[in-house]
Amino acid sequence: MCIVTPILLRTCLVSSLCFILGSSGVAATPQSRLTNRTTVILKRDVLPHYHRGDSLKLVQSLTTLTARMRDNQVEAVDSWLKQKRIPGVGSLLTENRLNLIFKGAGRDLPNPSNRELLLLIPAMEELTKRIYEKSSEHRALDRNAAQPSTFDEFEELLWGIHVFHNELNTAGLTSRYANQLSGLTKRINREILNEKQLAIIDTDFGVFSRQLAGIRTDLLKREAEIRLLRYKFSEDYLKPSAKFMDQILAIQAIQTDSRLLADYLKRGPSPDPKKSSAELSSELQKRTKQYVAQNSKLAAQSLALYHGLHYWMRGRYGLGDTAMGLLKSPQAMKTKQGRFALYMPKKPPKATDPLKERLAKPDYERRHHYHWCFEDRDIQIGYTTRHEVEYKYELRFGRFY
Amino acid sequence: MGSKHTDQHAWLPEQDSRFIERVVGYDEYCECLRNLEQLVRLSNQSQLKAIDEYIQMKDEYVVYTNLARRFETKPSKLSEPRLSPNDDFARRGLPWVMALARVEVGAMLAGFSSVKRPMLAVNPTAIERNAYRELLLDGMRTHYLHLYQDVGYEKLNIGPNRTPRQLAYIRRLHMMEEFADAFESLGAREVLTPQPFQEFRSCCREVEQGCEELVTEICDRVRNNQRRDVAEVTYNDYGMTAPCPYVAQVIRLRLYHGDKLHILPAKPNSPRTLPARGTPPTTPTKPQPASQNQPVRTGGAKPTGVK
Repeated sequence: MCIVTPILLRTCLVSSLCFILGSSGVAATPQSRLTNRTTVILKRDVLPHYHRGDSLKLVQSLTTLTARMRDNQVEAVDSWLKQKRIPGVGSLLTENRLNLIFKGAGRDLPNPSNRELLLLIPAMEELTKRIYEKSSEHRALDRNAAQPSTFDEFEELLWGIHVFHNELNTAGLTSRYANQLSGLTKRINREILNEKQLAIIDTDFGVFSRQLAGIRTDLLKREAEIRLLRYKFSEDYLKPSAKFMDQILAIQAIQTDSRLLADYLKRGPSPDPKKSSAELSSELQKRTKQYVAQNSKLAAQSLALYHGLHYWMRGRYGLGDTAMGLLKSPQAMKTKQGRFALYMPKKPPKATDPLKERLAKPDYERRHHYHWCFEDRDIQIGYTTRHEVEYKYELRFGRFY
Repeated sequence: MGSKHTDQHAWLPEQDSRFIERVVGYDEYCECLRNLEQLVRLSNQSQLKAIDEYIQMKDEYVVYTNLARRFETKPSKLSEPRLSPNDDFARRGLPWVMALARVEVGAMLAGFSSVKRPMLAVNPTAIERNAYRELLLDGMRTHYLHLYQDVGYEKLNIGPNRTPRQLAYIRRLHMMEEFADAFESLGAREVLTPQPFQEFRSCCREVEQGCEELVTEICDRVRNNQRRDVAEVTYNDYGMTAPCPYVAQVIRLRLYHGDKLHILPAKPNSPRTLPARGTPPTTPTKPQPASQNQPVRTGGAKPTGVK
């Protein structure tokens, strides 16, 4: 007869546990540090809000979740999110906070907790640095490159400048917002922080802001030079002998460039070394008025064509925040900026056959093939109570208790 | 005597009318059509031709058609023919650009708004009419052929959370109905010979029937969840019955301790009568079912069976 002593039982248990752990090849992972409460919040709140693209609720739930977390707990959450192919907490908070600010809903944002500040600031620093480092190689700032000689080449260069402008705006807004958040770090007790955390809260976003401002000024000046070049190039095509499409493109370029140059010349130096800002601005406005008056119908046609095709591109290639790009965020139902915001390709896209290429462009060859499936309504059940009194006299209580 | 009845109500909430603004492409294509329609109004034939040639040169404005071929297992009478042996179904030009925008806007209105006949509400101009018609037929065929291979559609009546899934397919089938209706209104018979047209009508009937079945099922489910008297609580002469025995006890105590309590007079022939004031409280018993042995009570007389 074999008597299983407590010691023997404990040994068997431990060795079987080792066998299970050994065979799975998994040591104690950060995920094992996730508490039940954390897992419930992640599954009940964070995941659904992320998939629905509800930035505000996602930020609110992450703010609550991370308020009292330590570094290893945040790492455990990051590891759990990575398994679901979702970015980490810092990236989620940064992206969604900035999303709401860009869409004019920054006022609804909850104040970040101390822990959240320590997550947001490094993510914002990384975003800003990435865009700043790109600026040194950007073609738009290369004055030695060949000058454009056709409308298409001008368009390509100006599109690149437009995309870069947007990136610099994003970086600028990010570093300004990070500067505001840095002010909140004064309430953190520095004595409880380690070296890495101290370095985070001491990050000087003022330096980034100044550097980005310098690049933006440079880019604006370069854009003004190119637009003035295109303006002069276009004037040669506003003759009755020119082809109709060249006339259309010319008048459209003249209208756009004169408007944007007038804005620029209010505060920037003149791109023409022979004329001052005021002189150039006045001359451009006078000439543009003359051209538009002489070709009013052509001007209207060019604007209609340009806006029509521009919005067609947005509808065809644009991607929203949620539902794999098919839907915009809920802010679209509330604010104009929310309705306008879309992710657009950085380079002018070329359409490809969706039946031949796996990653065809656009991402959705027909939106109506997909958007029908978004439905979250269900039958609602409610209850009402009614009283029936059978007799003539009513039952009345003078005092219930 | 009184009773409290609880009724159950069921309803399907209305779709938020602003949801369409979230759909990517709605605002954009609407703005696009507004501008391009103005361009068409302002331009003569030669100018439109020049604009068309300009757009044809740009790869970003290419629209691929006959997407239904992805789901076609064998050619049918409705299959789109190639324009030439080398035809890759890439279509270029202003008519195709406008037609695509119009089909997308119409589909969004069909799926997310209550606009009647939305594909015709965004009525095409003359230059894009043929392209629009072709895209309508291709859209309708793509959805129809895909449904035959759609596992989600097969399992629509199985499993939990059927209602949202069924609502999504109702939207899809309704969109297909609108596509078919618009295609027919724009001269389907000019494009299809009698036999293909019969096949087209047969597909339309299947779609209408499928949509009708799903709508009926959801309406029945809503109707079946409307119930009266899911719970009933009756007040007896002493107060409320279970599930509130504590309140009943309180009320009984109040009765015997002379609180101001206006008690309903006993019904004639009711199984119980109240004891007169001052009488010590007796243990209440459950009402006994009426039996032949129980005497019929007259007013004021105690039943012999009461303990």
